[in-house]
Parts: sequence; C-alpha cells; structure tokens
Amino acid sequence: MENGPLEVWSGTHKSDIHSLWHDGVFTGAVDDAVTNAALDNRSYCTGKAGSVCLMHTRLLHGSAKNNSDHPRTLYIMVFSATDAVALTPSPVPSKHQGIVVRGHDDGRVRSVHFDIERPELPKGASFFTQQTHNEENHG
Amino acid sequence: MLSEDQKSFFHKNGYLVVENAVSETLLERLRDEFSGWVEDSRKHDAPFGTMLDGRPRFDIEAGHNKDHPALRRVSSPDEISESYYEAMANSGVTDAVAELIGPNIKLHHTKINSKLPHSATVVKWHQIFPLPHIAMMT
Repeated sequence: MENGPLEVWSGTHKSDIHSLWHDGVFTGAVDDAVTNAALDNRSYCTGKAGSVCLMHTRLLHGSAKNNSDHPRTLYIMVFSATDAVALTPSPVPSKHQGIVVRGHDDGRVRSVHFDIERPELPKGASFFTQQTHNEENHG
Repeated sequence: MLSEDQKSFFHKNGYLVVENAVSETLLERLRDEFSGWVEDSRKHDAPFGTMLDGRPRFDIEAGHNKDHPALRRVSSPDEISESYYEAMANSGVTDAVAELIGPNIKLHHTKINSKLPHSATVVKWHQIFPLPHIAMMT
C-alpha cells in the first residue's frame, strides 16, 4: 500500500453527491467529515500492471502519497453511454471527445433528475491545482 | 469478457478491478511513451505543452527539477499517442466498459496521473460526477 494506490468507498455511487465547494471556494474535494468517514470505510484497489479499475463516476475515491521507490502511474479513460450529454465544457478537451468506441449513437438523450452545484473549471494545468490551491490558501 | 459475478460486483460496489485488460505488448508501448514524456519534462521548470483550450498538456508538481522529474499529469494523451488512443478505443478496457454501461459508449476524455517515487501528490477524496464536464444528463 505504500505506493499510494486508489482508495474507494464501496457502494457510495448509490448515495449522496457531496459538495466540492467550501467557504465559497471550489476545492475539488469533499469536506473533512466525509473524508474521515471515507478513510474508515475504504477499500484499496490494487492489481498487477495491465489491470484496470472500472469505476462509477459517483463513487467516492482518493489516494495517498507514493512513499515507495517506484512510480505509480495510471491511465484514466472516461466514457459514457452515447445517450448521456455533458452539462459543462470539458476541462480536459480532446479532439476525440464524443467518438463512439462501441455500438452506435442513436441520436437520443436519456435524462434522470438530479440537483447539483455548478463546478468551477480549472484555470491551471489540471484538477490538482484546484485541490492544492485550496490547501495553500486555507492551510 | 466479464462474468455475471463481476458485473454484479460493479453494480453493487461501484467499482471492479479486472486483470489483464491491457496486453503485455500494449502495456510496454504505454510505458515507453510515458518514459519519454518524463525525460522531456526534465527540460522544463513549469507546466508545458498545449491542450486544445490553450492550457498546458503536461503538469508538474512543486519540487520538480531535471534530476528529480515530477511529471504528475498528461492531459488527453489519446491525441498525441497511438498507443494511448488504442488502449482507449480498442482494448480489453473498452470491451469491459461496453459490457457494464453499453452497448453504446463514447469517449469523454483521457489523462495520465502519475506519482513518481516520493513525490508529494495526494488526491483528496472526491466524486467525479460533480466535477466540471462530468455531470451528465443520463
């Protein structure tokens, strides 16, 4: 576990969507109470190289520092059903966004009800700058 | 490629680890490509490269230098690498995703997160869904 593997809180994809806004700042992280509960309930996702962890986008997850002598590198691929439509611009734009990689697009949108705060697009190179910036400004 | 037990596990728990989703050959190509980007990063002291929206493609963390490179993020490697495109569009990963949320699936985006040895990056707990772009009508 010393290389900072992915940690997940099993089953949370079926529960609440937690706020990533705190004191008017978009932190990209849940609050301390949810974090502490997650740490008490975490499972580690490990596997040999070439393994994939398939993860629901509502699942609570995080990871610790890599304290090992080896890199821990992972490739994240985000897919959706073709009848899902993004509500905000992508912070990781790609000329391939929206290409259908399996099946076909039948031109339909399937919607379900949810209520959610609008996020803030990252201004820096990545989402990490949002998580770290908050730490620098709020201790 | 997934068993009924694996599919049930995913739907119950929200995640599933599958071994050998990427072949040894492809894995080696992915590693080689990433190693090349780490080597490139030694020449930079700030995030570099350019994404479609003008922001840097390659992100480095505090403390990065040519002797101890700390490249922590490559955005949209599918655009600049045939290997990363192939892993996304035509691998066991694509097949598994189609079995879980398909049959019709499309790409949103790709990225590489790396924690080099003894680097400082942690990822605080969060859900993907309420981040920009990911909130989907579905």
